[in-house]
Amino acid sequence: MSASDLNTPADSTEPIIWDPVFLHARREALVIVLIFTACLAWTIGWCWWDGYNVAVDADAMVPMVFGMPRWVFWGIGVPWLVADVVTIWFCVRLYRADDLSDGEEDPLAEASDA
Amino acid sequence: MHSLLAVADTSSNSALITFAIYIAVVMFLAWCSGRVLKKRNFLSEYFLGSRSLGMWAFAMTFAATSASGGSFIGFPSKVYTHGWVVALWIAGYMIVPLVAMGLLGKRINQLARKSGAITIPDLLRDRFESKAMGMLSIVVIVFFLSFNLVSQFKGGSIILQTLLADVSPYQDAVAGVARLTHGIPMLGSADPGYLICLTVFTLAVVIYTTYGGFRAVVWTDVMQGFVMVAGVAVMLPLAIWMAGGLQSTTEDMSRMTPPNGVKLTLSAAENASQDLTIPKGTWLIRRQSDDAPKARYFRTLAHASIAKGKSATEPLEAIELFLTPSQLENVPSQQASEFNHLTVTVVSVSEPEYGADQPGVYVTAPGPSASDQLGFLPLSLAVSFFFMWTFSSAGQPSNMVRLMAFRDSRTLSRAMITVAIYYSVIYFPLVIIFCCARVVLPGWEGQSDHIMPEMASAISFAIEMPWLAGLLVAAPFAAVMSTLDSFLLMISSAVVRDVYQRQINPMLLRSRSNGSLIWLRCR
Repeated sequence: MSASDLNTPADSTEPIIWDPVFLHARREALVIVLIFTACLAWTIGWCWWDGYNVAVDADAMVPMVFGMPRWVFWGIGVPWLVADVVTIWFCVRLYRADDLSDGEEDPLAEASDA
Repeated sequence: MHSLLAVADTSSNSALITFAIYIAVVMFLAWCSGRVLKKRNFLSEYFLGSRSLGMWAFAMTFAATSASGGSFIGFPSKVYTHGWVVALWIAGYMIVPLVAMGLLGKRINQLARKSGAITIPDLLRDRFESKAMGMLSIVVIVFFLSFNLVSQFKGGSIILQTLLADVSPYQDAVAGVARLTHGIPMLGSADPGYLICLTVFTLAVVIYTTYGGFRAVVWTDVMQGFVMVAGVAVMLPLAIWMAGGLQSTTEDMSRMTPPNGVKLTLSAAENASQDLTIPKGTWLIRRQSDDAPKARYFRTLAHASIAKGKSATEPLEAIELFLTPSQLENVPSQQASEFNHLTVTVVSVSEPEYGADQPGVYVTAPGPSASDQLGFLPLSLAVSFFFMWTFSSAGQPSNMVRLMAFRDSRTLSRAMITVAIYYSVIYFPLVIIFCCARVVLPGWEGQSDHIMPEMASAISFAIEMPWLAGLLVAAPFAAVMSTLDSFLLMISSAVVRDVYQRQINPMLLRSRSNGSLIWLRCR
């Protein structure tokens, strides 16, 4: 296999033909990094604002939602749920069902079956 | 029939039966996988399942391999010790499926098909056209995964010990091994029960992995993945019920403060007429008196004894607990009263570095810490863990090799959805379960690694279904096994495929390769 997945033409003046799987994978990777950044910003941002160094009241109570500390619910529980929904959206709507099948069996693996 | 029912009615034998059924199913799956192996391209099938994993097999093997002993032993221990902040510690898992599977999955699978790669070193060497890259990756995989194997073996053995502790044939075997290993260097000083469980566990995993290869690992992972989900699904409502509701649990945790480390001595009124042993984990209470305005609660962290003719122990390590009223209700009263005739004298006290005498520390960040002045999870560390969980999963060799094995892109996208849901129903509920454990089982800070099996026992005892303990303990056991078998296969494939076949015997024939694989693995 060549070092890259570019279908490099023999003549360098010809335009490079990119492997569509590579192009799709690159676009999907970019979207995944954006989703990761959003999750990171939401989770860390909210927990920093509402969870760190919080003064508890005289009864040592923190604000709660559904029995959880509020910062856990809004800073971790909700973004986790949203991340699941976004994952489903990404897989159903954005992820391309590329044909990955190619090539031949590795000669060494073939040899082992000879 | 009556005798069988009588046997099954005891919790210890129920645990044994559960374990036996579990191992039998695992072996059966390995046998079925071995039958498939005989009909396919040997190396590709043995190490990669012929790149034909469907959605369920791919998703569950990916998820179960990631969920190791750490998920069911270390993680519950952390939740128990540090409280709600551990939800932030693990929060990166919300995005792990997308990053670990989606970022590189399609390309890894495509490149592996193009080059015929069946191991990660194969793939890296071909992709970068560099033998050095291939060799470096072999060294890294074998070296680092070997360390990880040790902890998984240990974790599996500890769980098995907990499972079999009260089984009489096991106790007889422990006594026999203790006699056999007495006086043998290293072995003699090891816990004989641990040695037995380590041997049994190792044999079980090595046999089914060796015989069935990748497909056996995948099929057992699928089963183990469902066992883990079932364990968590059963424990969650019962734990909340036992703790009196989640709201009540969090309110109670708001009032808790972390324990002090103490050194104390125990003394009796008279010299002991025979040796008196105080086991590790014993509850001790210094009652309210004129000198002490309120009762003090301690739990020992080591065995101690008062020798015959003496009246006091040597100073021993313990923790001093500041219990809430709800926790006090759950202190085992029988144990607490057993050594009440002894006088507790505190020799020294060391407060936790963060959170001492600070109500609310278990329900806010950064959480209590015995050793760090910044608390358990300073903000900078929370950011680091978010990155670490996510991107280290993408580069974890056992995850990468699975990305080479799925059938097509559609399988990958459906598997990502499945794994995302799987992690959500495993990790977040585990935080809730072991926050509840702080109320239900107080005083385990000194041995928090045991909290998972202890909680399983407490739950099955509370609902009077002893057999359930075996099922619940099977969940962490499955987690350890599913990770361990994958690591074993990774290491053996690196040695056989990348060292032996690539460097020594490229024309390895099928009939010989089969024998060679097994021979090399057993070295």
